[in-house]
Amino acid sequence: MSGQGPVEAVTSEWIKLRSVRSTLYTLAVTVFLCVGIGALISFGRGSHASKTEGGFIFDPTRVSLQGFFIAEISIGVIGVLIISSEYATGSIRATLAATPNRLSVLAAKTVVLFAATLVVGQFCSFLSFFVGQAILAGQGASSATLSTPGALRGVLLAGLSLALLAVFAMGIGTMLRHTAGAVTVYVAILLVSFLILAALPTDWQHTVSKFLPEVLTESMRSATQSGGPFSAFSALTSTLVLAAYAVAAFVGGAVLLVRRDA
Amino acid sequence: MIDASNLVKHYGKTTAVDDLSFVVKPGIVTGFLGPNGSGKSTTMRMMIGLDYPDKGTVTIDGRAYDQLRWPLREVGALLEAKAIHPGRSARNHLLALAASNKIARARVDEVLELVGLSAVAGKRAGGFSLGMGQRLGIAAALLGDPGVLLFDEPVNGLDPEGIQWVRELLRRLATQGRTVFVSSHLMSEMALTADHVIVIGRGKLLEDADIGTMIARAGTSVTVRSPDAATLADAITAAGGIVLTEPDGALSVTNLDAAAIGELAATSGAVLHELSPQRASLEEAFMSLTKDDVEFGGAR
Repeated sequence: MSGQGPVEAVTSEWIKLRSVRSTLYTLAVTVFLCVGIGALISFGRGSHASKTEGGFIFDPTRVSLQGFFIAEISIGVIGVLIISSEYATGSIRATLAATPNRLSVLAAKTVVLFAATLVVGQFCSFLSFFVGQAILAGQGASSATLSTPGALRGVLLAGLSLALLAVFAMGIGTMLRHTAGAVTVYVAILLVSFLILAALPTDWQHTVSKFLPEVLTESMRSATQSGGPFSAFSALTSTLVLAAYAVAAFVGGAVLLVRRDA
Repeated sequence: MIDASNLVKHYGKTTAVDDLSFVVKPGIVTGFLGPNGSGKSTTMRMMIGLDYPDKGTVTIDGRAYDQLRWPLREVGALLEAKAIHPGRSARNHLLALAASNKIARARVDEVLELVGLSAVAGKRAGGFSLGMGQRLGIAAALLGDPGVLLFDEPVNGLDPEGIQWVRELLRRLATQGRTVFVSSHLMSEMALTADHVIVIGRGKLLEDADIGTMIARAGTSVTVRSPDAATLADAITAAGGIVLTEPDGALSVTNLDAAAIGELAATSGAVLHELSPQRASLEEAFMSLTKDDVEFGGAR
C-alpha cells in the first residue's frame, strides 16, 4: 500500500469527532459524572472519615476520584461509537474508500480518540481532585494536595485510565461493529467480571482480581497502595496492564478490519 | 478506464459474482444492468477495495484501488444513499472526506453548490430526504474532481426533476472525457443515458455491447397476417422460422426476416394482409436476456 497520508486521515477523523453533537454531549456527561459523583462520595466519606475505611487506608486522593468508576462507562460508549456509528450509518464505506489503508484509518481514529479522551480525562481528574479535597477539608476530614506523596501520580493516571479504556472500547467496537453489542461486552468486562470473581475460589480471586479493569483503574487513581479486599498491582504496573488491554483490543480490531469485507 | 478481469466473489455458498470480465471506457456513459441481487453492488464495492474478490482483479487506469495515492481525486463513488452520520452536517461530512485526500476546503462549497445543497449545508443530515441524501452522495463522489465515477442506482429516491438532473450530469461528465459507470435495474433509465451497457445476471456477464447493438441482438420479430395462416405457418416452419400464433390470429415470426417470409408467401400462394418487422424495445431485450437469471422472481 502506498500509505495514503496518515496525517490527513487524522485531520479527517478529528473533523468527524468534533462535528457530531452527541459525542460532545457524552464527553460533557463524562465530566459531570466524574466530578459530581466524586464530590458526592467525598461528602459522604468526609462525614464519617476515619483512618481506615473498611480495611482500606483512608486515601483522600482515591476518594475524590471515585466518580471515575461511573465515567468509565460513558467514555467507553464514546470509544465504541467512534467506529460502530460508521457501521450503523454505512459511512464506513466512504471512510475506507477515502483511505483504503485500513490500518491508517484505525490508527487515525485511535490518535484522535486517545488525545480527546486524555484531555477530558485530565480535566476530570484535576477538577474532581480539587473539588473533592475542598469538600473533605471543609468537613475536617484528612485531605490531600498535589504535593501529598502519590497524589499527583494518582490524578494523572486517573485521567490516563479513561483514555486507555476509550481505546479498549474502540477495539471492541471494531471487532463487533455493533454499538449495542460492543457496549454490552465492554460493560460486562468492566463490571460483570466482579460477579464472576466473587464466585471463584479465594486463591484464584487473588490471582485474577488484579487483572480486572476496575481494580487496575482503582490502583491507578490511588495515592497509596490500598491493601483492600482485592490484591492489586502497583499503580504503574496497573497502567501497563490496562495499556495491554487497549493494545490487545486495537490489534484484534485491526486484524479483523483489514481482513473483512467492509 | 476500469478493467475488471475474472472477478469471483462468494458469500458463503452463494456466488455473487461469477468470473466477470469487462472494460469500462472513458468518454461515454456505461450502464451496468442486472436484476436485483445480480451482483452489481458487489462488483462496484470490489472496484473501490471495500470487498475483496476471491479471484480476479479490478484496476483503475492500470492500478489497484488501494495503490492510489489520493483515491478520491481519481475515483468518485456513490454506493448507497444517506451513508452519513445523521448528527453531522452535509458540509462537515464533505470536509472530513476532503481533509482525508488533501482536497481544498473551497471545493466542498463548490460541490454543494453543484448538487443544489448549499442552503442546507449546515443542517444535520439526519433530516435529509432520500433525494437530498442522494445529492449529498453525488457531491461526495465529485469532491476530488475524479476521472472515474461510479454511481450505484443514482436516481433512487429522486423526483422527476432530480432524475432529469442526474441524467444530464452523467452525460456532461462523460462528455468531459471521464469514465462514467452507472448501475441500474431499470433498462428504460439506461436507454436514456447510457451509450454502452454491461448486463449481468446471477453474477455472470450476459451482454457487453453498445445500446444499438444490444437492441439489434435482442432480435426482431415479424408480424404476419394472412387468411391462409395455417398454410403459411407450415411453410415458414419448414424454412427454419419459428412461429408463434398471437391471440388475434397474427403470426409472430422470429429467425426469418420479412423478405424471406414474403417470398415464402408468394411461392405457397398465401395472401398477405400484413408483413411488418417489429423492433424489440430495450426493456424487452433486457427482460429476455435476464429472464433465467432473476434471483427473486414472482410467480408468472
